[in-house]
Amino acid sequence: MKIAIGSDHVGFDYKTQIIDYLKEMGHETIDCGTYNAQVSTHYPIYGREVGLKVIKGFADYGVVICGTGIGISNAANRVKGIRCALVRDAVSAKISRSKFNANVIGFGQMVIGIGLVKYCLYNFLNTKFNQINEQYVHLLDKQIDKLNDDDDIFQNELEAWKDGVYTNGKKQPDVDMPTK
Amino acid sequence: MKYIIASLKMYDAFAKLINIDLIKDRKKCEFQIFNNEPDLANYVVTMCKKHPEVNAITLDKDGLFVSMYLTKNNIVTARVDDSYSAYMTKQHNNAQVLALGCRFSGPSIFRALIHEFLNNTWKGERHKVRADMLELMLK
Repeated sequence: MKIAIGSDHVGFDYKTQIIDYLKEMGHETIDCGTYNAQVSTHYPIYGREVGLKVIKGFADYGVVICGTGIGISNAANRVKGIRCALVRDAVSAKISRSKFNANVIGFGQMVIGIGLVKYCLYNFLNTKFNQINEQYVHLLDKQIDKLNDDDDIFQNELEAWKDGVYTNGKKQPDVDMPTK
Repeated sequence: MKYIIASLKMYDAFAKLINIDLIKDRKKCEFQIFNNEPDLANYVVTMCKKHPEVNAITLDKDGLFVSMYLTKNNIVTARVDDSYSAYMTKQHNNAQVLALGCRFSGPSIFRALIHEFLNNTWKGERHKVRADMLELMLK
C-alpha cells in the first residue's frame, strides 16, 4: 500500500521512524514534510497535504504527527473526504477503521511511545471497514461542501509569519513546503 | 464564558459528576443528554456557532465521530485522554471542545482533563498562525 505521512517539526522524529517501519512492512511512503526538526513550522500545511494525497488517490492511507496530534489531525479532517482519527491505543485505531472507515491516523509525539505507535499503525492498516455504520461515514463526508486544493491557500499567512507578524516582529526563516 | 456538557444517555452518570465539579468551580453549564452521536454533535455545532466563546465537553463511546464531525464544522476539537494534551490543546490549539471517549477512561481522569482544559488559556502569538490556517481551510 501507499501511505502518505506528514508532521510538523515536533513530530519529525517519529515521522522518520514511522517511514522506516512502513518500508520494513513492505509499504511505499510519500513524505509530505516537514523535512527537518530545526525550523519551527505549521501543522496545517502537512495535515492538509496528507489529506489531499489520500483523497486524490496518490495514497491509500495517511499518517499525521505533531506534538499532541490534535492540531494536525484537526487539519487533516478539514480536507473533504478525510476521516482522521487521533489515537493513543490500538483499540481506538481498530475502531476508527472498522466503524468509521478512517483513512488517516494521527499521533502525538509527546504523548505516546514509538512502540505503541507502530502497534496502533499495524492494527489500523490491517482492520477492514465493517460497513455497519455507513450512514455515519456519509454524514461525516457531507460536512464539507467542496475540496479546497488551492496551492496558495496559506500564502498570506506564510508571508506574515516570515515578516514576524506572529512573533512580535522577529523575522522567521522559510518553512519547508511539501514536495510536489 | 459559556460551558456545555453534551453526553450520550448511557454516560449521563459521568456527565452529572462532571457537572457537579463545574458547579463547585462556579462554572454554570448547559447540560444536555442525547441518544446518538449525530444529534450530540449537531447540538454542539449549533451552540458553538451561536456562542463562539463557548467551551464544550462531550461524552460518548470513543470520541471519534464527534471529534471528526466538529472539526469539519470549523470547531477545533481535542480527542484526549491525558492531562498534557488537555492543557496543551487549550494553550496551543485554542481548542473549543474536549471530546471524551468513555470506553477508554473514567470519571477521575475526565475530571482531571477537564480541569486542565478549562483552567488554561490560549497563548496566541506564534500559535495563531496555525489557528488562522485551520480557519482558512474551510473558507
